[in-house]
Amino acid sequence: MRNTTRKPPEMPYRYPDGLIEQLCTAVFKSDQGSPLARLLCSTILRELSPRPHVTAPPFVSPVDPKQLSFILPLLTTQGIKFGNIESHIPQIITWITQVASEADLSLCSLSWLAQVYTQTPELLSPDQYRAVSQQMAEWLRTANTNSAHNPFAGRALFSGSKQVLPVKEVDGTVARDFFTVLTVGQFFSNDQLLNIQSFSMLRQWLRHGSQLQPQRSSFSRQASHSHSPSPSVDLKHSGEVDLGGGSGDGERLSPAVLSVLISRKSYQLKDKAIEYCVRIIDQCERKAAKSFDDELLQASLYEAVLTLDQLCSLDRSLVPRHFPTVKKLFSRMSGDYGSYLARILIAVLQFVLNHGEDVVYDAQPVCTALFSTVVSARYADPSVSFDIMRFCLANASKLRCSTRAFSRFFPNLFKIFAWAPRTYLMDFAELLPYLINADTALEVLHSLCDLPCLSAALEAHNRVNVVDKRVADFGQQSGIGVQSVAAIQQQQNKPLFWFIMRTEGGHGDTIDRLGLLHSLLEDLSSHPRVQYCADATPVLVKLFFKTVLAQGDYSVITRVLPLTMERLGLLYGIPLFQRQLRRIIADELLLMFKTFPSLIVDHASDITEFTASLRNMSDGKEHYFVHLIWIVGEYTASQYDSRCTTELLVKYHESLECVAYELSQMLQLAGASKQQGANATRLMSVLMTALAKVASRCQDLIPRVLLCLTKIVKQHEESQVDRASRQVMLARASELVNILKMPSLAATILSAMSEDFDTARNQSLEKDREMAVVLQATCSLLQQ
Amino acid sequence: GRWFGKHTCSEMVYCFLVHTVTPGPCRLLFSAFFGCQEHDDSSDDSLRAKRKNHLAEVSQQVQSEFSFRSSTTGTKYHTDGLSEEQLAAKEIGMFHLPQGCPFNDSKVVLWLTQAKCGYVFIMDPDENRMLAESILNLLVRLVDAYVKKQDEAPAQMLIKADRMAAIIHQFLPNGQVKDPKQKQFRCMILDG
Repeated sequence: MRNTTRKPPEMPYRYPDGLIEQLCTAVFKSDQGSPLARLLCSTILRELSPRPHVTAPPFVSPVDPKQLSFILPLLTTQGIKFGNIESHIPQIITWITQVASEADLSLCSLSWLAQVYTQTPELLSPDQYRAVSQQMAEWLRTANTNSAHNPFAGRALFSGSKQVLPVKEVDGTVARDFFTVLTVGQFFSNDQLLNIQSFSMLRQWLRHGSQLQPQRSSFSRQASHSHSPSPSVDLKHSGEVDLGGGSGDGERLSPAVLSVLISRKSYQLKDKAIEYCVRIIDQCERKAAKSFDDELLQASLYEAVLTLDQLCSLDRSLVPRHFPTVKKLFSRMSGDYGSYLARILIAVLQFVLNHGEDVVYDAQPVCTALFSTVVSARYADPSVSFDIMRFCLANASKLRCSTRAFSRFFPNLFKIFAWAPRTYLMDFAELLPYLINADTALEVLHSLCDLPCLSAALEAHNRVNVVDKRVADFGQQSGIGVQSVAAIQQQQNKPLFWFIMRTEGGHGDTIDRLGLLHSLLEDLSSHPRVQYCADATPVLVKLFFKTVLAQGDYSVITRVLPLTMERLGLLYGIPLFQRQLRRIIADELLLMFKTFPSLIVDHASDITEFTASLRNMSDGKEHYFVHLIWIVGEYTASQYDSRCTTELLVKYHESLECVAYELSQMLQLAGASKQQGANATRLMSVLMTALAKVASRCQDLIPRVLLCLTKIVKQHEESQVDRASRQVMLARASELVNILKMPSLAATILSAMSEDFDTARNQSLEKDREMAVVLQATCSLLQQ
Repeated sequence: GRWFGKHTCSEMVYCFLVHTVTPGPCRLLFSAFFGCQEHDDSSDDSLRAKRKNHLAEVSQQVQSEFSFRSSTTGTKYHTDGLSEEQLAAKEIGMFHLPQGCPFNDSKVVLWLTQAKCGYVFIMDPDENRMLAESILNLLVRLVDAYVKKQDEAPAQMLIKADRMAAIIHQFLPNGQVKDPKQKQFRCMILDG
């Protein structure tokens, strides 16, 4: 699936002497030359960053905002080490906090500072942080509510007619409350731009917001917050600031910062932020007059909910007062969830999950809205499905423990995977363990085995009830899947399709006519989506078994075993998929019994019934069958489960003996292919060993087994099976006969022979040195 | 036009890149990193090579996602003589990059393809993706207006890299979108 790419060669560029210096001069010192040229110099230097000897000199006023805009990005790409960022911060903060600063300088500085702070918060001292926060709070709350004049208009022809227009809400009505990002104006004044910028960076700025203190006066005694890792500045008295005192932080307080802390009315960023978010949520009740505004509206609403969530996480006392806002938003949203609203709902649910417990709010309705309504409608939408997956993974534990979202709606979630298996395989691998519990395990396994079928069903469904138009059209053109589309529209098939595309689990693990559904959807098996799904599914199935065995719940495993027998023959018709899944199930079978040997007792009837019919060995099920036979031989011992009585052993023996004779007859028939012959002889060897093992534990059976083995040997001395396999089989038979002639030792020898199936597969005894030694000793004893 | 005016919210992006989306080797056409890079003690050139390798990995993954998507929607750019409609067809998608694969922190990749090119934002998982999508759409429109028409070859982007840099500088300066004063921008591009 991946395209190869040539790796860029190691680039030992040799730059002409003085080139770097000249570029630096152009960027840092010069104010000549076209802006584009200077921009290019800056861009080139950024490409080469981080690089020593590329440092900006300290800024000397007056500074051209344009030049600053070339320099600042370069500082950040240079990094902390070479960019000398720390030394420039005080000046930057001055430009932000000083009233007299040019607005462009403030804007440039603010956005740069936001980025720097997000990546390396420790660069700012608590006081610097607070000063900027206060400034931001002021912008959030007090931006101009009049529309700015057209900055591109020339001098007004009639100077008397300067009309001051108020700003408006998105629906065209005059704005009556403070300015926000959603307030519409023709052009924006500088403080309005700063308002917008402040809101945009708010969430990231508040992330490390433990430094925000509720301030009782202009500034207060710094009580170190319980989470704050940074040392506190010591403010000695409530009316003064310790300027000297050798405190390292005190040295960083530039006059501008001080003036902010001392003289201005102290705005609490936290409070203003909340007011702002609540106002945005309010403003979004209005319908946007112009459609492109709708995009901004939705994105701002999303941001506002996330910011509110952040604020409440920082200060839990805010929750009771502001939870109703979010609750009201949710009830406003109910019903049809378009692409935007769906994603906002995710933010709402995040808020509810984080804070709902504080107000004893039941998250179930919101969960249902998301996991049922939204997922059913939007599983094919790349943005919505991605957000849902991120949400599920971020909140997996909480969703699993405090809600029933996963246990109820996992079938719905599988649609996301079935539609875009390439994108979400890793995510689902991470999510799957959370979906599995004692109640859901069986249904989950059934669903996993049917994922390619689900993929096909969704594809057919899309052609009829268009979820994604381009996919539907393209599918129609391709001509693949015509029968499936016809089938899904037929009345008598509705229950089948309803089942595979169900929203909720818990209404039955599977259906009787699953095979029919598979055949109805067969013509979509070559569709790329279905193919990809089929390739990816075995990974998840393997993970299922790993999870279930790790969870160690016997009540689950004991129900999984018969399921594996059932599904072995019931898989969607993609040959490679069937082979892979059968192989996985066969291998996992060994692990299941290794972990829970008692299965051999509890499922005796299932196993004997399964192994009784050699039909269960055909069509790719050989591995499973052989493993099961081996398991019978291995685990029917009282050391594994005390309930392995003589009766049980006799029952298994009878079953094995029947199969052995039947197989022997089958082997005698001509026409078996080499591969079939090899499989059959392998099975025979395993069968004979299993018989011997069972007999060794119940010595009354030994004569019968000896008889059986001898008969088989006789039947195959001249059979049609190829020579090599035959010889191996016969060799094994005679070994077993010899071992069984020593009844008291037989059990020990046979159990030592096969610690695991891989050793047993090894038919050459020479490899088992221990065994050779024992046998030699025994033989020498017997000969004496 | 007016459709610029609204995109005044900020969105912080770790990296923006453009690459080819035609079959065959995936070629990086433009890239811009924002913010402090992950440093180690390797030399400058090997650090740059490492960065390019990371971007190559990401763009390969985008190409892979696109290839799957196009197998189900029929969007394709790989032949010549495609109609305007076919070239203009957009695909948009996102995926997650776990920690260490290949960046130190986990990231989200937002990609958009049009006219044989893939436009990619690499950003932190908790950035506002709704906003990022609309900004990416805006950038693609700007590319169409100032850098390369849809029917021109992707290699044009290499030739007009200065214009691409100008767009990024104006509209995504610190990885954030500013209010575009379009007249100033046009002046800069045309005079420069």
